[in-house]
Amino acid sequence: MSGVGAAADQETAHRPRDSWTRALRERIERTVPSGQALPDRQPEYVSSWIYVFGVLTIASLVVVVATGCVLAVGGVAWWHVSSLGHFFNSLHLWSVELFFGFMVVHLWGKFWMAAWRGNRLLTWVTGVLAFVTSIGTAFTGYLSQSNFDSQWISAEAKDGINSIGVGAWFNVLNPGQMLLWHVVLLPLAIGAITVLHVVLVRRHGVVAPIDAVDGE
Amino acid sequence: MVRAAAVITGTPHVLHWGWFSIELANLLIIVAMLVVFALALVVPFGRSAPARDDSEKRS
Repeated sequence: MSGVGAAADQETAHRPRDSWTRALRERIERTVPSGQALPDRQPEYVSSWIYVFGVLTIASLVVVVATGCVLAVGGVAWWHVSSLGHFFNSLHLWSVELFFGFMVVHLWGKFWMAAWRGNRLLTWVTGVLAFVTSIGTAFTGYLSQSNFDSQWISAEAKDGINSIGVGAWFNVLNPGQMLLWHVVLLPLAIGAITVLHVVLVRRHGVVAPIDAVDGE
Repeated sequence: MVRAAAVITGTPHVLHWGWFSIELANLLIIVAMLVVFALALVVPFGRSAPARDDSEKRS
């Protein structure tokens, strides 16, 4: 054993059992089974295009966030006055379109294979939350276009928001509030839910087909 | 192709079936997604050497 390893073991031995760092480390180590965080072997039934759409959804999300960051540098009206800004706005729009398309195909696949089986209910629920939160993020994006389209949409949306009693806190006629929800709060929520969803997938593994025998 | 694009981006074409109505562009998108879903189910993935792990035992 190396000197560094021996020193680490000695430190661990002396660390009290109620140490929060020790408890957190052990909790993280227990969350995903050893070797399953980034596995290089999967069951035979995972060799299907239907499993690719979850990864495509995450890849699209990366492009959405990256192009959104570029748009944030130029400002909310940049895409109206710059061809480069218009280009990145189009990249942002179409990556969102692909994001939702891939996510819906992923959703259809998981629904018809009843992917909540085998103690995977929380994996399914976090997927639903990611879907619903993404819809909210897209809607606030429509409200952040800074054009007549966003004005018309916000005027139509206010009645729906008021009908559920939250218009005083979530004012779709306030473009500043909608923009900050779109670029800060909702992306953070989607990122956190996505990380949790992927960790749960790696924790429980990919669900076997309904008619599978012994996991084949 | 140009005419097809004009159909999608120009004046909206709305289809009506009784109480149900939908824009042609939206209908085409839904049909395309259903086609992609069907293809994802039936097209071989192309990996001939399957591997296994113990995912099922973890559930």
